[in-house]
Amino acid sequence: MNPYLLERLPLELVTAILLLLPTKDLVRFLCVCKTWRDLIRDPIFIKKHFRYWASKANGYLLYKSGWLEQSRTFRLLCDKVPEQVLEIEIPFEHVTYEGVIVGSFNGLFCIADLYTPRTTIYLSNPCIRKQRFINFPIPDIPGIKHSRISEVLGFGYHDQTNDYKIIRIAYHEYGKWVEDHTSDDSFYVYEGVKSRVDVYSLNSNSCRRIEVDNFPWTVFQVTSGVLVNNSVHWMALRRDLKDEKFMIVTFHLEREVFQQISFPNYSNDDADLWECIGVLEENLSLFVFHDIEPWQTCHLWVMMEYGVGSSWTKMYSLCPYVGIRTAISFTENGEIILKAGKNEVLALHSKARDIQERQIQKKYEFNLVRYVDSLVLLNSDTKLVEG
Amino acid sequence: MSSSTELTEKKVFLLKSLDGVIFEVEESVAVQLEVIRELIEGDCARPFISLYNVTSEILALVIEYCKHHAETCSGGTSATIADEDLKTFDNEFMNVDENILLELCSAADYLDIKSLFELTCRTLASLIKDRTIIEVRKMFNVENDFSVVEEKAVRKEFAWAFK
Repeated sequence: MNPYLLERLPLELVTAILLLLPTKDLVRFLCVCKTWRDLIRDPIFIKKHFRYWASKANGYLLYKSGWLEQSRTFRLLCDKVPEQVLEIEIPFEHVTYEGVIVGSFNGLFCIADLYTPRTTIYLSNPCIRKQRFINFPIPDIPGIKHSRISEVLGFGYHDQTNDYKIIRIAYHEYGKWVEDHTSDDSFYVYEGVKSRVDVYSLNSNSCRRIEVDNFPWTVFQVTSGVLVNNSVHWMALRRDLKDEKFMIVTFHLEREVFQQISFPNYSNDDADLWECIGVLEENLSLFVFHDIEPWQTCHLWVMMEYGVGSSWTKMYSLCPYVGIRTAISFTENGEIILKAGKNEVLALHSKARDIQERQIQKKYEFNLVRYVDSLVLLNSDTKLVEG
Repeated sequence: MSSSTELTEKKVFLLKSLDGVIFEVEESVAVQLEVIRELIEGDCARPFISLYNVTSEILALVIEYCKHHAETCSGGTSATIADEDLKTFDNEFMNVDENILLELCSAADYLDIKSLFELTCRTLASLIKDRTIIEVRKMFNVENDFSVVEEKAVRKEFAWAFK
């Protein structure tokens, strides 16, 4: 061999080669030598690796809310070949089979068990079988019983700092019932809210309380992983205004502040209006459908310029041939996956406007999240629970 | 590249390998080596260039690769046919000994030939994909600097990957 290769291949060449390998091989190659181990564990390498694999593969993880028949497995389905299903076991100790995925970024899932006496949260990377239990403080709002506190969760990835954050909002709204003497009816008057917000950062592996003066929103989504412009988004109702208004509440992962975004202006006359927010081609998007029997109309709105209310643009309106029950997921390739009819799964493309039936295993009530082969959490020192 | 080369006499460069062998290459081939293209663009290119990190055996292969790519790309064939042709050539070109592959990869990095670098990296990655740890150490000429206990700990932590 060429003596000028310094007997060994320069590290940048090794890096370039290893980036092309799937995680399973990289995990094995941790034992080649210390240099390789340090390289594979390096956060910059890990980031380059999931970026490369995210550009290559479009995987989606199919999962049931609540574990599949208590088998603690996730089912992975490949976006390109939906029939191909791969099962991934999650070796958790504590779950009560009612886990939901709050969100997923770069192969890292935030899983919450909402039905334990207090919310239990995990971060998990199933492809390297690593997970971390997040010990969130019990939401403590002085003078308010735990059972009367509403909890909302959010999960997001901040690219610049390469950090993952979990947001836990705990709040209690108070008000009073007022009798209306003219109609002999009584109605509820919102007076205010007591809230507490905690943020967990994976980089620091700690929770921190965020001071929020006022949290005047009732949040409809218990969990959200809708990330646009470094902010996590939830659909909410603004309570402290004279006319209560539906809007989107946002939390900026770096500045750690709440803001709000107005919905597009559409007729709110029909009571049966269903909305779902998601991300299409990096834009905040809103899927709306009116549920008026026997007709149903769907609209897709996209916010072309982030944060600018007037930039909401209606991409299309259509009447589907089956009743849509709910939108499950906005996929990376511009599809909206819908549940419809009697356990049917439909994919609606944001551009083509055509509705396609997708043969996704229909046996289960399921949800869909993005999945990427990644090494995130490799350095987690949490004791591995053997599956 | 520049249109003047078609009419005037073809510019040639002399590339000298580590072991002193001199190769004569046309400009269209030489510019595929990003290091040389930069020299030419900066008007610093001398007709005689010494390449200290590449042996004659490897440099001959590199030149063969660049020549084929230069000819195919300028041959006036349709893009799809050229693509197919390059694919076939690349596949055959990669059918060499592992040590040669490693040296080609290193040379492509040093001479800054992006397509050859990516090709060799891809080939090496697929070669080592299912190899055992011992085979990989041998191929990359790396020494196991773990103690028995340390290596055992890693193998235990990720036992599922070794099944």
